[in-house]
Amino acid sequence: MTPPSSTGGKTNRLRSATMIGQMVDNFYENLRSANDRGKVVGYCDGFPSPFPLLVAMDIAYFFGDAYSATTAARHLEKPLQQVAEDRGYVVEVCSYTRNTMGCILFPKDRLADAPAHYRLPDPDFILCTDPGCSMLVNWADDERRRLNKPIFIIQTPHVYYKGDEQDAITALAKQFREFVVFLEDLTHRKMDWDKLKAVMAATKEATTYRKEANNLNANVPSPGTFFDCASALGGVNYGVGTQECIDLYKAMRDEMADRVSRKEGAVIGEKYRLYWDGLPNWTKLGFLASKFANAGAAVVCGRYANLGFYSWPEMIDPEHPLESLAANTVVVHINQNIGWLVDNISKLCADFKVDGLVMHGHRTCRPIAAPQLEVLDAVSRRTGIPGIFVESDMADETFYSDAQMDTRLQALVESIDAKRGRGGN
Amino acid sequence: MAVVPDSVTAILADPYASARRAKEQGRKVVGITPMHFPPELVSAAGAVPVLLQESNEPVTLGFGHIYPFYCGFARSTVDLAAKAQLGPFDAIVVSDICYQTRHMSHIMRARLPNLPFVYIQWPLESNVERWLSSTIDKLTRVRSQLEQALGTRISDAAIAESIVQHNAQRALLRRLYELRRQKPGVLRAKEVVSAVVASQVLPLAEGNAVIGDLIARLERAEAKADPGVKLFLSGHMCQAVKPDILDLVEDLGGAVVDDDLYTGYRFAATDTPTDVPPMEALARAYLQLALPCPTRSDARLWSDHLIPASKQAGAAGIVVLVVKFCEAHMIYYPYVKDKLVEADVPHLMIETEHEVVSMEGIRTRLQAFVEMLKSGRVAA
Repeated sequence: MTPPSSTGGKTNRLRSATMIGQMVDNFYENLRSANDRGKVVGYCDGFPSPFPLLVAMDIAYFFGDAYSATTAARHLEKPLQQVAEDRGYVVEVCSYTRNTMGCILFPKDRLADAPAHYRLPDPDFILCTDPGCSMLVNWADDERRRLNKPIFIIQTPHVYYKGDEQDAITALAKQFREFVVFLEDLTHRKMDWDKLKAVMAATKEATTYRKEANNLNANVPSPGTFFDCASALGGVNYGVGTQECIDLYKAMRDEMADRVSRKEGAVIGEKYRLYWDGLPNWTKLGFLASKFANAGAAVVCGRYANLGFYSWPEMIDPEHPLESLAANTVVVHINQNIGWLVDNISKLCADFKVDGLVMHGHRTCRPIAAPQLEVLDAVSRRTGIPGIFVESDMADETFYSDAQMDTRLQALVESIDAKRGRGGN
Repeated sequence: MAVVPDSVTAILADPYASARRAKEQGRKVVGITPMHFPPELVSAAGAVPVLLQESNEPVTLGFGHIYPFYCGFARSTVDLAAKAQLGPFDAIVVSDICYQTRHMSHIMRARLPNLPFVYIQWPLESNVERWLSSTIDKLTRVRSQLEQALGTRISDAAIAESIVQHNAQRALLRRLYELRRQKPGVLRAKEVVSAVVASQVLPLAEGNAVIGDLIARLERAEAKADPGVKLFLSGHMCQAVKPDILDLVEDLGGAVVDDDLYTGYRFAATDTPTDVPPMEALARAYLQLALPCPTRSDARLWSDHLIPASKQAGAAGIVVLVVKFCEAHMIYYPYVKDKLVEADVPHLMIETEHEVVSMEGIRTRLQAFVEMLKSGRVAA
């Protein structure tokens, strides 16, 4: 298959993005020694919104979702997925789950020769935070069964009908309060509410910089890409409430603002501006960034980066930490109905001057992929922006087809060209 | 001698025929997505509760709205909604037990904007008291939405009466299962499944009559001297196992003695309490499921039920039926597998699909399993 016609475009990666790698390395090095240092350890799946509570109580956490994404981005996922498959987890199971369970079930006699990344501390409890994916509880409960540790479940009330948000926030804040009691009972320590408020203030500062950075991609040319912004979610996942996290997002924001002032783009030769729906394919992140850039396409926004984790820092009030965490969880894209998605994605397309939509139908993250056919149809009808579907996965590269990606990307840029030829924007 | 009349097995082919007749006679009909929603609340409104069934039709228009990598029930139901052939329903109750049900219903709403959708999100764990008050609140909201959709009031007294009636039906189904354990091979597995489907889709009185008739016929039948290799069927959430697969199990020499299928014993396993106020009773029925459900977190282990149940039924082995893309079951299965191996219980896992791709592959594996059990070679 011939790749999409090259426009000679190429990536121009943000220097600040390199800070994330060091942050991730430090996080795992600390985590691996958590048992030795006498820390209480939680295995957490789902959504990172309760992490400020853990930070405030000095509890170390392993975040299965971020671990799986990082594992895939570092091309360390295949041995873990093989272990999972050998134990009976079929390939249609969420690849994040397979990566994590593959690590938990990794044969102890092979660990000495395995990457350090496969070594985890023993947990004291399991936490499931469901932001709109019921499968997370199946994953967490599997950990509970196999590790024989207590579990706590936080379930985000789904915004099924427009107007359900406030009741959902109230109900979820109550669950966060119950979780605090669970932690206090487990650790025999009381929550330091003043420390929590400080963590929330730091979270607000960091995520405000992050949002400002993301929004700078509305400029032409775009100073960053969706791929940069998705990678930068590592800051929230691994460093929420820390100065390191604030420094990361401030550096990104400043570097991108500098680029805007000099009209320097993240894709040299930006010709098309695209929206990305769903998770990235972490196994192909750099590869796809280059492929899109080579076609002259800057992916400038996407609901995963722009409508997801802590995307509404203005809703954080450090004096009301539980309500703030609840508000930033209820509102996320994965917890929303189709009408909300269509409205908000259409707005993103207008704000970021999007020419085309790429719907990433990740095979094993079905809850995020589920509304994509309806959403593309509705957004395209409303905005006139063409779109494509590409099927692959977030962390299992066997579902990726380069030929399919080339064909569909080519079709998209040709559609955009044709529309421009007819006088469209 | 055929123990079950044709009209019962015909329910699998056209499960909504009775609901259509009820609708023609002026009754309201409410479709309910599986699993766990208490039909008592719909019956108490004077309407007919009908559990949505996977269609036998191939998915066509539905693929314009849902990816092919969602469970067969979700694809089939979206397809029917896209074709405006869902059924004779005045409202749909969305019993949100997994993300596929949830998103399936959102797509259905987009396709059927004039049909009322009543929604409830169940807690992700059962047997945990902290969810009781919020579950009562959610059920109370559903009650109010149903009243609005159906234009009627649902009284506490009507719910209490409905609980008694539905418990009676569950008791009838459990009696049917008890008789099957005593007389394996007399009833075909698909006939038992048909009886459960009857309880899911027929007006309450009709369903009771049908099951009662089956029990009477089974009581009169003599036990088979050599029913075949006794098997326990496990799993298959939300939707009924295809009759072709059930027939295959038995045609190859197996005799199904018991199951924990959703469209099976699981559907009748949990009674709604009668010693607490009715709305609390409906919440407790969910929070105190008799069998651990793989879609929920539950301190009890599925294997701790499954292994004793299969032994008590005298099963030589277990056939685990996993609906393709049912992620809850796909994630639980490896743990159950480990426990079955530890307990030296032979089992075979079969993945089922909406479109039966290859019965021959399933036939070969089942044949090998049954022959190994016959010859005494353990296949755990």
